[in-house]
Amino acid sequence: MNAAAAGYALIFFDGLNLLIDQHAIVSLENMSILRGGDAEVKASEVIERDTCEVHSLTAHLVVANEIDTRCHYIVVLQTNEHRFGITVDSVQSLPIQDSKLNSLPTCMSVSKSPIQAYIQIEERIAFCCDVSALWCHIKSSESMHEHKR
Amino acid sequence: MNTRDNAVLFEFSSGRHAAIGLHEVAELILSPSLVSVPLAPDYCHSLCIWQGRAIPFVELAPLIGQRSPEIVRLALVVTYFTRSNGEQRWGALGLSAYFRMVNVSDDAACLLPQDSLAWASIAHSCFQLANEKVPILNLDALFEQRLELIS
Repeated sequence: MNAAAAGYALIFFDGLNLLIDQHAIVSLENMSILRGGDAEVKASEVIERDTCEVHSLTAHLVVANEIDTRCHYIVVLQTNEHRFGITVDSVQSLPIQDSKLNSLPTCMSVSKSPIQAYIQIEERIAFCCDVSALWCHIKSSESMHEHKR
Repeated sequence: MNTRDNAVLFEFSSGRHAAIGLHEVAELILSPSLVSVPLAPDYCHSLCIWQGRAIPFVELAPLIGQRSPEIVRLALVVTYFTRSNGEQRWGALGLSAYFRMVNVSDDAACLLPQDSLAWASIAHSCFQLANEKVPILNLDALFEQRLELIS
């Protein structure tokens, strides 16, 4: 029996490969949507049409202090209640079977982390990312930033 | 190699050593291929790509409140059987220098070092080597549970 292939998108930024459920992706926007007006580069931008925040993340999933203008695209993601965007270098569709996903080893698994599984693609590792947990992580990182200020 | 050797002694941080059973050693890797795992604890921040598989890479220094070397040049691949179901697993330990084989006898047994509470969670036992107390690692405990960083 063939297991149904799940629909994932492989997104890449700052050297990190993330596997995102395709159903969580609302749209793919060009970075130019953020450019042209305000010369100031902020930690988050807002796409007016979708009224959603856009963030750049580092390879450690830390919210970057500035939007990474070297990225080419914005992936707009949807959780149950929130819509937000992250800047990426590339996006590709990746039909894989859930059975190919490996749970993170127990020693490196952190509860509430958006990363709980990975898939090995030759020498590359892509981390399966839960979008709702990613949103919570971004908001908690932001409040930590605010607290430090 | 002395035929009586039964343990492998390795340095994990400047001047600090730990040991594992000789039968638990799989391979020494020079310049291991590591992939950082986002948001993972400091002591096991990466997966090590070894023989086509991804295995957890652990550094002992952060577990006892010490800084790890900035560049990892050596990794010791180890194997163990899980306590829960007896399955064979592999992991990698960061080394700061080459390892050597030693003979450990019951006569050398001593109490664990007092510099970190973590030793009680990850060591089977301990032996005295010159002036140093050297913990013998419990690999199942090290790789199969999530440890709090307590120094």
